[in-house]
Amino acid sequence: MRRLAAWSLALALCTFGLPSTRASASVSIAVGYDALLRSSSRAAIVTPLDARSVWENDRIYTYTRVRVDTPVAGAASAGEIAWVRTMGGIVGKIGQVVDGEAVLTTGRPSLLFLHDGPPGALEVTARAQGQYAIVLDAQKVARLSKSSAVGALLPPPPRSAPAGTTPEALASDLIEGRAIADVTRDIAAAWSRLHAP
Amino acid sequence: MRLERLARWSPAVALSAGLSWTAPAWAFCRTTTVGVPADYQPSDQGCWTNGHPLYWKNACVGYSLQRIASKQISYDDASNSIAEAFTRWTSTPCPTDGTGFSRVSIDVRDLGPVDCGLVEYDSSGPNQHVIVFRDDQWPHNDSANTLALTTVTFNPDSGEIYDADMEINSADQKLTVVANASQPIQPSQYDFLSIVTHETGHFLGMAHSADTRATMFAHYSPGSTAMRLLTSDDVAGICQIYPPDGTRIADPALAPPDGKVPEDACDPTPRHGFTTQCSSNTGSKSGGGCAVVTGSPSRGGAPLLVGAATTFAAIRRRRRRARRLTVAH
Repeated sequence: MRRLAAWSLALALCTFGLPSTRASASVSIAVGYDALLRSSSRAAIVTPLDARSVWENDRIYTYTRVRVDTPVAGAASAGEIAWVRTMGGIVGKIGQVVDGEAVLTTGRPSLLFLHDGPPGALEVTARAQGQYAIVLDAQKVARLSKSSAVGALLPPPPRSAPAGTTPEALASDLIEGRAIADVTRDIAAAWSRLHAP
Repeated sequence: MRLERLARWSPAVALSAGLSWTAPAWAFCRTTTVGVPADYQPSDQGCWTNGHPLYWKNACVGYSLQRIASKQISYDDASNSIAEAFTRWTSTPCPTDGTGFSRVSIDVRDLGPVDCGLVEYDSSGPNQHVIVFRDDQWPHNDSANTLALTTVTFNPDSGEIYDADMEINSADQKLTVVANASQPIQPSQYDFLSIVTHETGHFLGMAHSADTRATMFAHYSPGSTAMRLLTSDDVAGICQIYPPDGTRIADPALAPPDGKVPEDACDPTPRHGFTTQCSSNTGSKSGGGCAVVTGSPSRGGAPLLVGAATTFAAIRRRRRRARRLTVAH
């Protein structure tokens, strides 16, 4: 019976195919690399430790306590603890999902681009577009992957690039799929240029 | 455990697949009560299925456009586009078991304009499912990049949707309404009907699809009107959530009928009644209303830990208050 179930499961999967989707929701414009860095006050690889959701201004917000594992740029140092606020969460018997928000999952590190939020807390710049998950490739190299929570992304309209200039590179084009070490080095270099006093 | 339950169901799936050899591979997914972790790899792992899939239990759902609409798009134009977007989803014919086609078992109705432009859910007072333009200022993070945002409030134990509100960023983005799909859209503008067709899919519980032609695919281009039209993948998704037999598949991992719940009789009134006013104006407030976080700022490179500790204390205070304010369902 177990073998029958396994075969029929395999048949079903072969027939329908394995779906491949991002189960999140929003319509956003893809953020430029420079814009992402310029709008952030710090970038770091962090690990969420725990989280608390609260009602605030008629919405549910989640405050996630994160530990900075690796500071990449800006005002962050290793071992620091910070609170990151995101929209959505569950309070009691009511839950709220807000499309396109970064999703910070306890124990799962990610690269975050952050800026100052409400007093005492930070927010993820460009929402889920400012979060890159860390995944291991077949050679066990840690690479950065666009967050599954990003949602619908549109290319920026042509007006974003003045005539005669090269359009700004998109953040995902310069980060997605690359090794962490390479990306963090590039971010640190670009940071100096974009945050020059 | 989930695999075992899927395996129990799979003979039926395999059988129907075998009988219908032309069945396409659907790529749609449903939004669930648990957020998708950033490192989840849908290309390897398929749809995120943790938690309960979201659905409206009632056979009818109401929505309201804020009366002032937008400087970019008039109330009438916006209202017509939104109605058209919802109709595309709710007029969908679904395949049935040999009896031909039948419409999805959900209807969405315009309850008329409202004054309230706040995204809120009152768990003990009247509500509205508002669609609101943000002409003056986008009130959230990421104004430069967000076009539209749908907030869905739900029961985390069942996945039943209690409330949904849609915000459209008309402060920072150029939107346009055209009379028909053949009329060109400027490359610098976004087609309002395409955006709301996509967002209304989320309003109804759809997540993104990997089908590049689908309205629920996660990418499209400015100047395009392609997302206005539903594809077979979009149809398969909405038909799974709201099948013609009037049930709701609350847990697809369970073999029917275990995972099904019956719909409620048609009543488009929002939960606890309908109001055109914000709950702060009606004097009814129980879902939220907490004050802004207070605590030491972490700006200017000040030690984060100080701010964090203060915020933690503020959050704890507010949580206690929220517990007192929130009425359980």
